[in-house]
Amino acid sequence: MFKKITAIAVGLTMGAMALVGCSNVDTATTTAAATEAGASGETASAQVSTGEKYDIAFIVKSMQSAFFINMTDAAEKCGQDYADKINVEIMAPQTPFNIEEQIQLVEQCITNQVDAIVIAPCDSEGIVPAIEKANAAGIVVVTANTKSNGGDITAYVGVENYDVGYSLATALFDKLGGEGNVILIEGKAGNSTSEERAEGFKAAMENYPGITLLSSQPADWDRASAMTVMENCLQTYDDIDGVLTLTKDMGLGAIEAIKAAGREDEIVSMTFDVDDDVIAALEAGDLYASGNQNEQSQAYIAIMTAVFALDGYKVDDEQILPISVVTLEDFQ
Amino acid sequence: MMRDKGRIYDFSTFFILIAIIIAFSIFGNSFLKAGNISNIINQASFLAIIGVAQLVVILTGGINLSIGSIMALSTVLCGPMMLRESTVPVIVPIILTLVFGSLVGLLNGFMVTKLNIPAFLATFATMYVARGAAWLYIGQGVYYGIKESIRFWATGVLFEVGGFRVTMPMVVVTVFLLIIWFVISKTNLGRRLYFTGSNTTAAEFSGVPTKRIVVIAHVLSGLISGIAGIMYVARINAADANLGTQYHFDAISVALIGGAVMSGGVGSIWGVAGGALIIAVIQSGMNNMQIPSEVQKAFLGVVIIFAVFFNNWFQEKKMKVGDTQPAKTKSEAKA
Amino acid sequence: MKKDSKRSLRELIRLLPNSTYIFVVLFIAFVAFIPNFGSATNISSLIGQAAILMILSSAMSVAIITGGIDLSVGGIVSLVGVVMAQLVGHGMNDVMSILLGLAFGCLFGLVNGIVVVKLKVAPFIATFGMQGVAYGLANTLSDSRALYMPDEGVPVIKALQTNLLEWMFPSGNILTISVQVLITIVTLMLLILFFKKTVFGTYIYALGGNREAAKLSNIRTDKWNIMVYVITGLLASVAALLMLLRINSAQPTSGDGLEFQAVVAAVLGGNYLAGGRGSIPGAILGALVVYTVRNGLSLAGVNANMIMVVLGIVLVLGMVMNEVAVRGLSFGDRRKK
Repeated sequence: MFKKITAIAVGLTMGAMALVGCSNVDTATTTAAATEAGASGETASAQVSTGEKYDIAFIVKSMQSAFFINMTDAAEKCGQDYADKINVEIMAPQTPFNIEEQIQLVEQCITNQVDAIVIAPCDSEGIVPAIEKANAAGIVVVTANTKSNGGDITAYVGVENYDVGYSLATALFDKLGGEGNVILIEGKAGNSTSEERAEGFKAAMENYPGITLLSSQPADWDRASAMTVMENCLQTYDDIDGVLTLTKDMGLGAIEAIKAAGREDEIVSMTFDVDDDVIAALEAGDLYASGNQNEQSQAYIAIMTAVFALDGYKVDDEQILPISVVTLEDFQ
Repeated sequence: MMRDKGRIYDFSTFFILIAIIIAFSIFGNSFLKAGNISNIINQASFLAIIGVAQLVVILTGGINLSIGSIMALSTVLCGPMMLRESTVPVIVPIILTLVFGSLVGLLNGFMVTKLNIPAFLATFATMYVARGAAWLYIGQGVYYGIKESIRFWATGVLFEVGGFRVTMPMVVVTVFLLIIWFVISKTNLGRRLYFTGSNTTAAEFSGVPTKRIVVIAHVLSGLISGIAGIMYVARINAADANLGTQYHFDAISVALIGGAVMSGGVGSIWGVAGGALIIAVIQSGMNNMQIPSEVQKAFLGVVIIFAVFFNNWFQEKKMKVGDTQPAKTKSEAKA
Repeated sequence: MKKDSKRSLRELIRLLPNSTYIFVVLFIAFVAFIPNFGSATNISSLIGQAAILMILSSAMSVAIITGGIDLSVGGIVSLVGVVMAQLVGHGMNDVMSILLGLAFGCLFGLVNGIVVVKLKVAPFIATFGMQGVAYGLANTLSDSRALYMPDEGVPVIKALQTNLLEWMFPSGNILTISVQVLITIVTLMLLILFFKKTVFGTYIYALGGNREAAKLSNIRTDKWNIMVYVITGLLASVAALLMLLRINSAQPTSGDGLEFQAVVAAVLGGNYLAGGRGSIPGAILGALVVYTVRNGLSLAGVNANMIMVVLGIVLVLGMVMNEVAVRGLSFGDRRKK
């Protein structure tokens, strides 16, 4: 008996605690919704059950990455800017970049009967079954930052990852004068974003016969791993002219390794994405250039695209944003 | 007897290390360059710290899966004070990091001894909670640009002899290993750590406060994780909530290759140092031979199994020659 | 008669694993407080989400009951998925590919068993090392790339991805039972039957309880101990198949970290890491608890990092509860003496 009572007591505490965990958010959104409904009560005639506000789920690849937090910040901003029209809920898998958990999130959006899902898929192919399910439930799906290879996608907003690899590689090879030994540090093994960028890189190499790719290794989008990879490369190769890392976290890690070896003068470093740290590295001369894809705009535009689609406007199904290669001069 | 066992294990770790180095020198080119050796020892220094953090808990028969998370949480909490712009004296964030690390370790110890949760699960829960807390605290981004006075400890180069660079981490870790070695092999506390791990019941009967010893081991592990955290932050020049997401694997690998036994009571500091060197040699050597990093993980797995098998085999041989009594009971009898 | 049925009911309740209480209480609380949690659509997806972990945690519980552990299950999920996808990709019939994949998982489990039993390496270390081997092989065989299923020529895989039953409620909720859920249920039923109806179950408890005694009573402990790892390997391969169907591709990293989640779910379900005590239904419920918490909090819009913190705390509380229950049990034993 004692056993059961304790069991139930502990179970209840757990339940209560779990609810405390969610009640903050819950009450926050419901009160916001309530005041909203009061404010715009007179116009509440257009739609029936869901009210006139669109529920939009914004799903990123990780909440443990500065890049995706930039995106969610922009999504939140968008939600606030159009608070009378949309309700943005932000989600991410607990295990960063885990496609299976992301599928679970899409399923939950279907349960919650959201109006639209804006998603940056962890894997372009793996997400397809989930998107098909969402389509079947009549949900508008917009992809941001990363494409989906299937399903009925209303629009894609982002860059071409292939072009990212291609244009960064071209800029790097031009800087080297078309001759030299380079190293490519990739993201996570098997990740489609990383693969596409690497493919672009390799395509660019074909235009530059003087360029030799010494080594191309994954560093899991991680700063410390990139540093170790770079250290080992620096040891193995006496003659390195250029390094391209596929994101800034890895880029900043690689720079530390190069500086520690005292070879920053002979190696041209480039990376992708821009933030304050990258600008500082450009100013210090540690980085030659970086690519900018402006992830905040991707998030904002993707959500607005979903809203337009829900309103019944025809939207462009492929909104490719330009990538710019930026050097120190761009910030002066 | 117990000490002999430890020696045998150290010896086998050493043997594996030599074998691997010979293999890489034959198959890889310019593997034995002074610069490369310096690089390997430098990388091994960092691994050795997390290996020791794992060892102190394994000695008591436990395990600590939360090392990476503790590193992240304790340094992220002190991140703002470690930045170049900060006017807080350097010593404050360093001490605070160690305090935070020890506190999380204390929490682990409390769960293991008071709530009777197996260390595997207690520290797994901490791994989740600490990592989540680190992200909730930092919210966005990383603290980039660490004070030079902190960075020096992980990146400084003291002098160079014929291409071999003597770096700060080597010095720091040598001193660190000597201190820990002294604590666990020369002090009463150390003897009790081993005793608790090799036979808890016997230890309890002979008046060792085993629960308190286990708590101390976890606090020590947390403290060392804090040290490892500072060293890594100084190395990568940023305090990052993502720090060390996979380090519990590395820490276990280092300790196991170094001859620690999961059931407790066996393992040594020099074994861990050897384990760290073996992993660093494998990483660097396979890189040198252009073998992809994923294969390295497979190779490491085989090395772990082989090392443990080798240790066991050696142990059995030794026992057949010597006394028939199992080593554990003998050592208990002595104590 | 009446008394009898009452007693058997009480007996049944006593036999229920502790995780039942956590599960029931959590479930009711979530249904009451979280909108849409109790809807048919969500229950369908909750079961689908938990399927892989349910299979892995019951596999883990088989190993844990013998006093061992199998940390390589996550690696096997990745590896077997890659093997199946590679076979399909090379034009092999999909049924054959799946069967060969399952056989490969058994083989991997056999190696685990041999390392544990014949080389006498502790299960934790042996399977920890083998997990590294599995991840390495998975990455090598796939060249570290995601392997996609072809759109045509795989009729069975396509069939396995469909739904068995769809029931539309007037409210717009849809109760779906997918073939994947069916596979899960059949696998778990077979495992439980195997446990209950053959000597396997008894022997496994004997292995975990007192191995010397088991040996003396003529149980071929070595053989059965190897068998345990073959079974965990097979079950992990079934999980790999489910993962393949779910993400429509094989990824060399798809099993990352699943081994720890499986241990957690098994232990939440009352399996005792030292061996000799625990049950498969308990492990299954443990997996359901994990997913109820995740699904519920996520539906309520809780930040992913906060869910991590809550899951850790739930684990500790669940363990405390199990501990209380175990202590209650040992008091009982003492009284009997």
